[in-house]
Amino acid sequence: MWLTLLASAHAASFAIVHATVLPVSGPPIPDGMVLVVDGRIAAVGPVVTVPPDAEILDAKGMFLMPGIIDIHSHMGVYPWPDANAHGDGNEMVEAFTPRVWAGDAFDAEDPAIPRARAGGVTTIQVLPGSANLIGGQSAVLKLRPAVTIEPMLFAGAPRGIKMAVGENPKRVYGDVKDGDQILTRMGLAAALRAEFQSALDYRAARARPNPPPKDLDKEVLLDVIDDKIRVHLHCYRTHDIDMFFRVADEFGFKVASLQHALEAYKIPDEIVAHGAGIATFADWWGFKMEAWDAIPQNAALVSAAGARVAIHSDSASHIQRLNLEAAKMLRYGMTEADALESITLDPARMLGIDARVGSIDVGKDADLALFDAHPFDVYGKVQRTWIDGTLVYDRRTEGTPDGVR
Amino acid sequence: MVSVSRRALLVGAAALALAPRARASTLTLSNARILLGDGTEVRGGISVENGRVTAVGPAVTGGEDLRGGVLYPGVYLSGAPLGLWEVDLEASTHDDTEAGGTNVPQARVIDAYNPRSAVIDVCRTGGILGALVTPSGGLLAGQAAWMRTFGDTVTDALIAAPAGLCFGLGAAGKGGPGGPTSRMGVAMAIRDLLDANPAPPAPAPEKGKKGKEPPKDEKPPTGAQAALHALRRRETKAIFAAERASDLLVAIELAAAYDLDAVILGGAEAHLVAKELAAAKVPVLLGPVTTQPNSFDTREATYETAARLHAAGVPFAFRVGGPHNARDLTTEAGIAVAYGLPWAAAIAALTGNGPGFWKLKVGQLHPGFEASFVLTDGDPLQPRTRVLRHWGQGVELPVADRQTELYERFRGPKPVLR
Repeated sequence: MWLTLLASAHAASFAIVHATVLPVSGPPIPDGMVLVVDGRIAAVGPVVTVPPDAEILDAKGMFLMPGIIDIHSHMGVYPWPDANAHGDGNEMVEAFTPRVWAGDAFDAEDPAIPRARAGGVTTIQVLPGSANLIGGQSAVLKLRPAVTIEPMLFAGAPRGIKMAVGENPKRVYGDVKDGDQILTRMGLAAALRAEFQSALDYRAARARPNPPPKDLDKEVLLDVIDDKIRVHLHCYRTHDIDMFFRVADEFGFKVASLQHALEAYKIPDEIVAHGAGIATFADWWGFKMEAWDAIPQNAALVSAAGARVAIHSDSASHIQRLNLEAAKMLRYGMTEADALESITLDPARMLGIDARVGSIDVGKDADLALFDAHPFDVYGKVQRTWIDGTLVYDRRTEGTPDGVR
Repeated sequence: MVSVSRRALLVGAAALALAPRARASTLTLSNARILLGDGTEVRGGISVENGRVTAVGPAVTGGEDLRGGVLYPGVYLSGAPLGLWEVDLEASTHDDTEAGGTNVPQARVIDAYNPRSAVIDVCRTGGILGALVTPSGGLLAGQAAWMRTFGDTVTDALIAAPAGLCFGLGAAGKGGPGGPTSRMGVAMAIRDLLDANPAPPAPAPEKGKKGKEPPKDEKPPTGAQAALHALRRRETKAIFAAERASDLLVAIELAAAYDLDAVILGGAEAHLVAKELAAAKVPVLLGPVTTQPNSFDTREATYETAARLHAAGVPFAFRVGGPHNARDLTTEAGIAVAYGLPWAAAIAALTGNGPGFWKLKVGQLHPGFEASFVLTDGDPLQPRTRVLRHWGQGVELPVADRQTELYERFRGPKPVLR
């Protein structure tokens, strides 16, 4: 299916001209041009040289931005239609399941995916849920039309792993009558320490004669300790973040992103010092006690303190309009440039794929979203989306893609 | 100690400002773009006496200069569980569902509404000035009420109650303790209930005129019976929560068979039965606009629903699902505009339409309406637009809530620790 689309929609080189180009890495270029050759950005600027064989797309009045990146999605692991049978995001058999990979459960035919493309989204990180302290490994994907996951894999993207602290693992593993062992936040911290210590013990034992057999969980934990896997931590409250930083420091690894992090605005300096970024909701709050102190200025305050800030969706609905979620941040004090970065370059940095995507720069993948108004204008819509220079969404022919059929 | 006294002061100031009915409120504001709440707009000013609009338009001058800002009636949420809970996942804070809501026509949301809810404050500073507060769960969840988002007591906050009996159709009506387990059972149980509670004869006329005397051994009606009698006399509305097109047709059929003054709450697939809704004159409390085609009950949900209802002549007003993010409703209305709804119709569906279905004097800024309004720095439907100030019954309300308090505390280079 992917190859067919390539043949029909892929031009070896094309130029989008007369658009307002929002490169994200630099200021907007009014009446700008972007040249795409073999799936990469070949040139960008007010005027660029276009080879004679390149197709020209006149985008006068339109706005071109890098494809949107959602660092927190559960598409494919909770595919539509919503059904008990489709819950594949939480392997709730034990609190630590580092061995599982979201990609093994991913349904590439989730009808939410074409609708995300119609919202200009080109790259997502599919995460396991937050029931477990360590829920499993993530899959970084490009939203190429496909039936299986392989054509969607973001080649070369660093591995990622989902961890979670706070209310969710407490709720899931807090049933003492059921034999569970974790009841409080103290218990969560102790369990994390014990788990990482067991990985170090395993490493030591593997180096001795008569080593224990290979343990898939422990191998992954050692990769975490060795900073070979990026840690994406589901968290809300300051004391949960603080606790996890302590544990990470004790075992010598780093957190790449704090997911949700609704109280990050209270401790921005600690977050900057650790080197973590945050991926947060624009303005959601009150859905549980952990979200009671959320304020819509969270992203703006943490960004101003110097940390990376992504606006994430965590929702197959909101992913279709992450541009509007970012637009809301202007109401709460974020600059337009930072708000654009929050759905492009900053999530790319947290995922370690910013050399390839996240801005319109020469040499980067031609992942692009063409809007008929400024992306922060509620009346605008994505007209076309490209991934690697291939047209993957065209509103003229596809309209708004169907949902459950 | 300092923190305690400062907090007490803040609360005291808010309490004074939040009791507008106790004050004579006379006010003139001018130089604004004023959206009147019925889809029309004027440039000029607005005059207020005793909490009501007395004049609006270019002829009103003087008073405070609003420097060209946009003044509009604020958002009226046409169906939301506002004031009925604080934290979604904390069951102890929930007062929206009684006993599964299986069949409690006598349950009244005004007995549960907390006008001092932190969630209400956040809604108000987000530009929401009123809501149709609806109970939920099961077959017949109780009595809704129109409430203001300001006023320290239920009496002060109350616009109108009861505003209707809330029925659940389709998935909404199933389940609950002893409740129906299928759509057949839902419709059956509603019919049984209405059959058992026919409209009573009109009250006996005054002395000297002939009229039907009530039987001498008749007991006064119970609360449940009284609520159902009011429904059957069309004194209160039947609010049918339903999403799937087939369920909407059941609502239309029930309304016709039992002569109910019906409205739809939800209506994800309302556009599929727009002709039928228009013919039956059943309005839709529509939303969320962004309801997804993600389930078998909302398979045909589309961003174009509002536009298609508008084109078919079905009256509708916007609603949200949960109370916390209700301030997003303006952006949701903007999305409906992006998908074909005329902008003026979107403003009306956010403001005057909902209260208008109940003939309430709120949600518009024509003379005679309540002088409650919101000032923004631009198009209310744009996500970047800020709510600058707001007034309730002619009295300016503080732009303060739990979130602004937290923001003020932590915004500085060093947080103020107290």
